[in-house]
Amino acid sequence: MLIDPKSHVPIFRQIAGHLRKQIADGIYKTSEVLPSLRALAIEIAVNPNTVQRAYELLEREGLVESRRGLGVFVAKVDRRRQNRVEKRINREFSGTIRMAVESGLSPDRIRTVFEAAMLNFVREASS
Amino acid sequence: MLRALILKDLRLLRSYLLIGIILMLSSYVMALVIVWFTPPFDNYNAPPIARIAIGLSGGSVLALLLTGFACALVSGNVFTAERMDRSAHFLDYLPPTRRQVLFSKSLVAVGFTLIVVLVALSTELLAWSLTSYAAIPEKKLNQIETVLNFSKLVLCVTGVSWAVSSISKSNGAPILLGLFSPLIVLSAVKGIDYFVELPDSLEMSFLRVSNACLFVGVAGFALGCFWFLNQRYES
Amino acid sequence: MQSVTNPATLSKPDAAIQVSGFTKKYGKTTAVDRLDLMIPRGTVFGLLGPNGAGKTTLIRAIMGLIAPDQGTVTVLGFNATERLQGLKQKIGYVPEIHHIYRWMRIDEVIRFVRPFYPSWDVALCDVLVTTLELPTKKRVRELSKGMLAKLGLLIALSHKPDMLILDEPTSGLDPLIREEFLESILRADDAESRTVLFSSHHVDDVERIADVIGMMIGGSLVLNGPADEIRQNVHRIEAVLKDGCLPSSVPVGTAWQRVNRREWLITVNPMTDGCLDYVLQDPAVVSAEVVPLSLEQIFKDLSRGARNGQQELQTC
Repeated sequence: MLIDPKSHVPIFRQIAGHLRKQIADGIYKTSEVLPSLRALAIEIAVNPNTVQRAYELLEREGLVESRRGLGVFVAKVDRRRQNRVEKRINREFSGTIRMAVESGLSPDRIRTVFEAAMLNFVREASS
Repeated sequence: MLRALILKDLRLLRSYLLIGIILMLSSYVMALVIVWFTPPFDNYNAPPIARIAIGLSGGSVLALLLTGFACALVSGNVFTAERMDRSAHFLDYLPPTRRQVLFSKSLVAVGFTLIVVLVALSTELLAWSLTSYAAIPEKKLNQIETVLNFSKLVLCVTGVSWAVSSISKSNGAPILLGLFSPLIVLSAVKGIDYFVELPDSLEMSFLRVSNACLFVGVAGFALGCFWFLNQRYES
Repeated sequence: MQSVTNPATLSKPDAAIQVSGFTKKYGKTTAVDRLDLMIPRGTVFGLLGPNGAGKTTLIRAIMGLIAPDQGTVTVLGFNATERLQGLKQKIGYVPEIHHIYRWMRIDEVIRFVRPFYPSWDVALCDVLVTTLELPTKKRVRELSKGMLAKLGLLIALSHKPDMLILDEPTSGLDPLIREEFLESILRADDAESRTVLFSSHHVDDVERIADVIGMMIGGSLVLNGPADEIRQNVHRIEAVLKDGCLPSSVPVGTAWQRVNRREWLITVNPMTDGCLDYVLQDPAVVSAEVVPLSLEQIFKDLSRGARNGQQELQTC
């Protein structure tokens, strides 16, 4: 893994980028465990906290998932797709919620509006 | 270029040169003080001029003996001082050639010794010339030979310290060997005498030993120069 | 007095430094092995290499401080081993460790060194003292590492040498002083015609100011050329291996390789078109691509490769 400490790209992003490529190339296959934090940190001579940030970034993207006590694993492909979609929805929700808050709606009011819309959607979908 | 080297060497050996000068002056002062306050003996009360003459004469010999120690210090340090703190490496890649460096050091170390010897000889001559102005018992005259012989011992010390210093890493060996060299020469000469069974008188013996010392001193100086010129600083 | 040949009367050669077949052994260890190197006049040559690679031995031979066991070392047209005074007066040398007389003050050092060089420029020296912020009344033993390094540079630059030789000049210096140092080397009016040879561990320093970069490993010169050329010649092949398979052989020119899980990394010097094809043809290889390397990474890979004998296999 080639890390350039002088680049303005933060090291944890560089690490995440390399891992992404390695997963895409098949060096780490689906459901395989990635190197432990400490092991990777030692291998590339980088602070373990920085490696952790890289793993966390990949996890937020849905590319990997951590299982407590076992390590960080490459997520299944459909799970990955699901994670990606979830991520997008989360973003869209965030945008709508912000708009609602800026218009003056309270969180309880927003929740009520959402539930009404949800109910409406289910009723229309089943009919 | 030489001037810079000489000034540097003088500064390098400053303390030892100063010790030498102080020892020399103290010798004369001590000798004069002692002679001045000597009570009369053998019904002979020496007049002031005579006292001065005796004092100077005694002082010369004493000066040679004590300053000889300083000569060992100077010659013992002349090469090793720069070797011990490795400043010799610095000098080595500067433009001055080995010969120029050697010349500068010779001037300082040997020059100092020769000055000491010259001062001793001239005060001895001065003392001797003063005796013509006062009546002094015969024995007190003619210390010139003694001074000359002791000068040869000092030259031996300088030469041996110089030789050892040119190859030694520290100044301990050169100084000690230099100081002991007259004794070593003495033992050697005595040893040869014993085997050759030459008839001998004390004065002749001292003359022979001091001549041997002179030879050793000059040879030491030549050896030291040769060794220094042929060295490479490799580390 | 030793006769001093006047260099000015001889014809000027093109090569500032010419090393041919230079070999130097210390006991059983060969520090430098049949080295050939030509540095043209006016070049800034950066010499990289790990500790023990022979860089300092080479520089000492160029300075005439050691004599080669075999081969010749010619500097500005003169045999370096003869250590002619005229040659010494044309070279400014900054060693890694300074042994300047510790009891001298800085102004005394200047006054001591000045008469040795007919080309000493007093005005330039004064300017440099100010630029480098050197306290002239301080004694050498009181100086910090950075100050001492700057003093060494001062006395090397003040006589406007035809050649400047620096052995690890910035080792142990903080980044700001390192930059000041490099600036001073490049700043002088005659810097364009001056040849500079400097060895360093700091790859970025070398990259910044060198025209040509040379890299020594194990007593040999493994790289020699402008930075761009080196970066063009040395690349890494990143290959993906099939499960449970190991590659059978390495392409020609492999300097370093490593297998880790399904990843096979190879650093090749020099890279040719055939190398990638060779790797792709290996039955164990799924895919492979060529990746560029920074100079620092090239330095590390080549050093590693030499140290570990090209083999670095890790079990998954």
